[in-house]
Amino acid sequence: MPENRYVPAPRPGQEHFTAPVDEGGLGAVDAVDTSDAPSSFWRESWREMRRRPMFWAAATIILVVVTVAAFPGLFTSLGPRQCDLAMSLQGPQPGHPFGFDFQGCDIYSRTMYGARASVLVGVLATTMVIVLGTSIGAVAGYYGGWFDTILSRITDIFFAVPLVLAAIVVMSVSTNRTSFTVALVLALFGWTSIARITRGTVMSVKNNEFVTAAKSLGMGRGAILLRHVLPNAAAPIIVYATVALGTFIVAEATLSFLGIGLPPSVVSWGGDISKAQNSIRVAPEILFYPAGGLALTVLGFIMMGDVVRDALDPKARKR
Amino acid sequence: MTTQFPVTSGSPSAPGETRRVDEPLLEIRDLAVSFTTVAGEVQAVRGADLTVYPGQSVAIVGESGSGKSTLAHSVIDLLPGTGKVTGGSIVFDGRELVGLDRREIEAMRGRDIGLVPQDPMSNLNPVWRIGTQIEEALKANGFQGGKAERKERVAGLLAEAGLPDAQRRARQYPHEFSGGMRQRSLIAIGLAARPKLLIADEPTSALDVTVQRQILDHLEVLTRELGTAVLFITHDLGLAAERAEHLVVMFKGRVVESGPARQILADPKHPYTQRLVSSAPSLASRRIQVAHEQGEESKELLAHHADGVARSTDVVVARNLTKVFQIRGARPGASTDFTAVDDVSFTLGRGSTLALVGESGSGKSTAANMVLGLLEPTSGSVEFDGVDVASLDAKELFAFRRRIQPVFQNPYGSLDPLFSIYRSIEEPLRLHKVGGKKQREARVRELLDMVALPQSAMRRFPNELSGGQRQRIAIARALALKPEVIVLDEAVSALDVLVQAQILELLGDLQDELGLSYLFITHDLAVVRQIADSVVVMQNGKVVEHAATDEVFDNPREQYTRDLLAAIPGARLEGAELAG
Repeated sequence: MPENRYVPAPRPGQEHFTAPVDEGGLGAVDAVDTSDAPSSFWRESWREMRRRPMFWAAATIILVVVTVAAFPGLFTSLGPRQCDLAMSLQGPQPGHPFGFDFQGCDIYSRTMYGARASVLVGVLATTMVIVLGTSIGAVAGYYGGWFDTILSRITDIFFAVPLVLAAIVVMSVSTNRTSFTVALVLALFGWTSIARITRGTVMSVKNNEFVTAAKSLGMGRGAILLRHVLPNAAAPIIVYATVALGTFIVAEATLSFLGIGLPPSVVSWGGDISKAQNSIRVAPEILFYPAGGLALTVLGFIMMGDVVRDALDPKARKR
Repeated sequence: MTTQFPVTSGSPSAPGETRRVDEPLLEIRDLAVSFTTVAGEVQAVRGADLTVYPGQSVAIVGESGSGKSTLAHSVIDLLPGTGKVTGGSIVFDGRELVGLDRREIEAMRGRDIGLVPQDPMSNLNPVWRIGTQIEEALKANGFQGGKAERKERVAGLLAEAGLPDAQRRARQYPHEFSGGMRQRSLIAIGLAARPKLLIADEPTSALDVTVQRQILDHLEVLTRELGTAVLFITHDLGLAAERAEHLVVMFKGRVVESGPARQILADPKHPYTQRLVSSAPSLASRRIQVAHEQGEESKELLAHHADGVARSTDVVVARNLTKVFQIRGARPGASTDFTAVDDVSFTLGRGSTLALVGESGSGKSTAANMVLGLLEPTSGSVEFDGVDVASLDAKELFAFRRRIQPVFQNPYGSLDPLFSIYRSIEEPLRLHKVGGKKQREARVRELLDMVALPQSAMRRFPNELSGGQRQRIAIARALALKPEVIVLDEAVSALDVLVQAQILELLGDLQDELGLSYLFITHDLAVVRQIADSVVVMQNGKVVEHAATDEVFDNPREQYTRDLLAAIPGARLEGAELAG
């Protein structure tokens, strides 16, 4: 009941205005959209990735390299060790598109067979690094306290050691040199970045309310870590691992080039680059093929890492 | 401080009320604003009209995403990202602003149109002194005069914004200021060049309620004295009606209703405005209080009314709860103690709702976590159904968890983003080995019905749902194990008004249906009025007042409670204006 209070008359342009009720109505505001397929984080990321041409380029490179590494025999009928000294440093000939190296071996065939060592070491080292780094980082980040202090200091110590330098020292005293040992040595000194990334992500994920909710359901700490925290921390780990794979391939090539990686009996791009170096003045093109294979492979993984990062980083994702 | 309802300041003696000016200061006609996104062009504002007269205060009211900020920001060409004005006109002081080039707009910002941004924490540069930042504003707006004059002006502005000891304050850095003091500094910056229009974008929503009120009171007095027109942007209809004479209600980018504040409040015409008027917590709580004072037991207004019979037993008893945190010092062993919760006792009756009310840092959430058994009290005890929780062994504790469940504030953080809705709700059942796969699925469907969500939502993921829907899922998960007590930690604070009202109603219905007891933690006394049977007011870790809700609202005993009550927007509105 408005008493005798002075109510100013509305001024021009400020009269009481009511819009007609919208066609959409009000009820639909809080409806669940069930027209599309459910979209989980991973499904969304996959959709995002598929849209990028770079993803397809990287995927093609990786697929080709991995196929070559797994079945080099499909791509060449010649063995990498069928060498004929008479053909030393000969140019390309029918059936030998890349020509011959100093030992008279077919460069095309050696390039095909060399892929295996690189991919094998890269994949092995990355797997080991993920296992090692993720466990150490997750434990440090999730449990905190003394665990964190000790594990973080250990991480710092390993982080201070340059990867290739440490690998050189260890490999030069190692008697058993196989793809596995090379990968192991690289993993031993290469896990620190993943551990740091995991620790940081785990620390931020564990403060989420869904973790507290799980705790108040009575779920144990370990179960929470495995079921809620780690899956939500996986994205940056995957991104880093994809790029790291390329780095490990380069590190293996470096070690083989220096003659302390894979033994000369194993065909590898690093070893071939090293040998090509000897005849670089007379036949520089010999260097090109193993180096090109190496560069292409690394490029594939680094491009893939880029695409994966764009797809998995929620901040970069446009909705 | 004015005790008068501001709209009534038509009395000739009101100080700042300038002569009635018939030329509008700001006139927006048929404005359209759109953003370019990956999905194409999105219309954020459509056909919006708005008129502001000199010295007038106008409020744009709307929920998040209604386009209220976009509308206001388009006036000073501060649209974020890809936003651009695609149609209509904005005339300020006789000048068309749409299509003006950047330099001309920049010359107007600050000088003719000031802005007080929303978040005082991020809108001051942390590495500059407050004084320097205000000087910056003065220089940018063409302040003529020497250094000494400028310094003097800065001190004057700060004093004017209500900061005592302004000369010293000007030399301090933002981190030395509280949130309220920072917002005062931002007001000083906004008014530094004596603009004709001040745009205040939710100027106090990041602050504690009692501070909010002081700042708004001060802003009101200040702008009236200076004759500055104010364009408020707010989500709170009660606040808008109290602070502005003209309201513009926005919904989904359109102006759905506009007109004199009191007229809209008393007689909303558009269905959306009607819903807003009936659900705004500040207005609803005021309505309950008015009805109560008139001797009506307004049962239908309350979201819930507890049965007197069931209240006989206490389900949770907190006795002298104290929690001391050690704050790590520079050296090991050099830690200092911080008492977050200090000798707090309360009881929660079965089937009733107890609200723990306090501002940030009052220790209310810490107390709740101790009740939930997530934090160990330093001293004191929590008794659940007559048993001391601390005495439970691991197995008993696991069983205890089923009986008390939490719902948290942030609807975006309380569900695991990688879990489908089904998995989220099923998780408690699976963990406590309830039923087989078939029964669990049946129970999930039943729970979704209970929280009024379609069963088809089961296969969805949290990112596909709105905030209110996620909060329903969180409630469904909490209900899965048929608990007796639910701890609601600011469970509706992050939601829009209408959704908030829906969730409160849902909670009320569930309480009646299932005989639940709620421990309701909030900073918002308005919500408390709607849902709680009794209230514990906390300040700095201590209990200030513990009484029945009616008691607290009718005759608050402590000054702090009175401050909190006065801080509810709309406390000055009277019954006649509330006919929702």
